[in-house]
Amino acid sequence: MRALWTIWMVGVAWSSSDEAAVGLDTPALGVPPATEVEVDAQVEVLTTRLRCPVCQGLNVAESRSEAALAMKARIRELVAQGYTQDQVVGYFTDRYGDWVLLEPPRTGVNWVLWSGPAGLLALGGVLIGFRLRRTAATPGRDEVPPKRSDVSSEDPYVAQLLAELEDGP
Amino acid sequence: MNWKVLLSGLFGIGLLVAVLAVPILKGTDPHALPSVLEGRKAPGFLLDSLEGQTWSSDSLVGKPVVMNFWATWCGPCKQEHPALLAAARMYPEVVFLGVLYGDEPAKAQRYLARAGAAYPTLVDPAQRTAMDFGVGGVPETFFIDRQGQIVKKVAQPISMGEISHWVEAIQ
Repeated sequence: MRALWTIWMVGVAWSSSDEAAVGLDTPALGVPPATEVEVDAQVEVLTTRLRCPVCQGLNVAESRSEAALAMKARIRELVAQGYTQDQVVGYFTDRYGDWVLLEPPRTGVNWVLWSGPAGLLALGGVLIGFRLRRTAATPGRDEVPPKRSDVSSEDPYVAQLLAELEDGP
Repeated sequence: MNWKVLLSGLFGIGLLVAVLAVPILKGTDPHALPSVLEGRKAPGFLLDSLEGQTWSSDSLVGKPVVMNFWATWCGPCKQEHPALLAAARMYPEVVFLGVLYGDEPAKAQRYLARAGAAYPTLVDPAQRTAMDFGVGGVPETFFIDRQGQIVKKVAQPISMGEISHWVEAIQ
């Protein structure tokens, strides 16, 4: 899905700039986590959702690059200030676009991506169903093939051949 | 063999491969996607240069600005450096700024002493400004007009021709 998402982003080259900007221009909507453990838990979730900007295939949690570490530090800072997960994600998509998300958001044209595999599977099922129904409805399908002895021919050569086949070796 | 079914299947697979292959064949890079910041106000910043002078985005209001994110460990940055030097000298009315990305100031100073410098390079602790500009690697060059709007982001080594084209656009 990640690879397909990347290709999709490059191919379609659309951006989420029309979406409402959620970043530092808005105050924190959440309550600052009470403990470091809570901060860690939220940071863990967010760093697995966001893409490391310099390594592409890795999320921020997996990457040891300086850019990913800087992003992680920023995420921690925002979470500690009480920014909600949506606000933190919004902070990054506002600057990097939806490309920074490892999974395409389930909105707009991205539904093509999300529903594509299931849609193709359903289409395949429907086509197979039609094919089976048509085959079953074909007349003579269940008829027993005629025995060799029932087959006759006016051609003496063919008639002799059939007779020899019937008699066996 | 039912040729109709075979041909339909091949057509479907071919279509899928074509759709997925277009961006690959075009050689496009996700980093080369248009920046979501193009057409929007440039993020504010307050950074010190390698020489210790403080630069604020507020002090640049009304001036066309070219901001180049770079690093000494980045080969393409070194490749484009002569073009940026020449452009900074050719367009004195435009503010050229370098922003060091994930690098040590001492290394940048040594490199610039060797390769030449025609404009200040700012130090970006914790890559905060790079993050605000949505920088996904270096080099990246932003062209900001007099109204403070980002007109263009170029996410590859930039040529003199490209610089001239976009400098004209922001003036």
